[in-house]
Amino acid sequence: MSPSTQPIDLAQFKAVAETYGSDINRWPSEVQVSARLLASRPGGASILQAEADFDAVLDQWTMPLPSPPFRQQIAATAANSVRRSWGTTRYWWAAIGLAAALSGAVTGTAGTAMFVMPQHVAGDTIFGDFDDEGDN
Amino acid sequence: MARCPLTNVRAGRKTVDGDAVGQVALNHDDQDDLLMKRIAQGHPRAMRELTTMAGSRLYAFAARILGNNADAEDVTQEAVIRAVRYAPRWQSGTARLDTWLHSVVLNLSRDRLRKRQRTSTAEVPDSADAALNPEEALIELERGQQVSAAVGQLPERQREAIMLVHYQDMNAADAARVLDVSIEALESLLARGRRSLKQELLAKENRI
Repeated sequence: MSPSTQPIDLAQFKAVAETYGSDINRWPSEVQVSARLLASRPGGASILQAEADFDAVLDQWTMPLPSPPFRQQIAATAANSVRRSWGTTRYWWAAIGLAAALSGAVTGTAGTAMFVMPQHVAGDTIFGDFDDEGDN
Repeated sequence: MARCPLTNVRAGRKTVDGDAVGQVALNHDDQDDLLMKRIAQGHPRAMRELTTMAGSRLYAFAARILGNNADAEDVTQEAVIRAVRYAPRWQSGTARLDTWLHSVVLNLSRDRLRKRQRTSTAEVPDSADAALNPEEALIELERGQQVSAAVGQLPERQREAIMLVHYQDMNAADAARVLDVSIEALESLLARGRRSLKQELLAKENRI
């Protein structure tokens, strides 16, 4: 018996059956091995049969399948959602590309300005070097 | 609150995050990861798998909760849209896809019910088998409506627990995850729900 299985007695078997119903696959995994063993014995089998009868009563509430047009509609909705999702992805890649281009332009401009800056001396203007004239 | 005796059996497992649950879920993780990856890529087969599941299993769940075909269709469609949008961000091991989708449908349905402020038994969809003769179909329809009405009279959480485990055929761990409760709490809801239904429905059958 694996570490995740736990033995149960008939009283516990009854309690679990009354909780989950007759399908042992729905029961907590650790009691399923022990439950199947008990279900093969007369006491457990009769408990399970009583729950199976009640499950059959619950199963009288059936649901109709959705109409074929609705199924087609779901498929179309899913396909559109994927297309929209890809459209959004493309939009983001375009935005990232534009941002990269802009940041490149800004970096280039700033780099050029920084390269020119050291040659600039205080007092220099586009009209000439006023300090030099004053000194002379 | 009624406690299920099973609680005493499983002392080492108080929540659905326990090891045993994780081991069971692992088998499904890879399949779900692959499916969601393919859905994100728009793979036709994966999309078919999702829509087939939505068109039967999820729709039935929504229809039972809401008791209204049109609302069930809307909720199912919304769940599909959310799955497709969420697919690129799907993370392995967080939940099973089936469980995740049921949680989405349950939350959307709860929102609708709150907006409507009426019970799911207000509109019971016709569900008799078309293969039966009219008299048998009518009897079956009446029986189905009795069960639907009885389930609809249960408190909300008990009703949801019964729907997930019995009608959606979910195991204990997955149903507890969808309801965001411990397994012990789920068992309490189920035990009380089934007991109430037995009293209601079996008493009715005996009267007939």
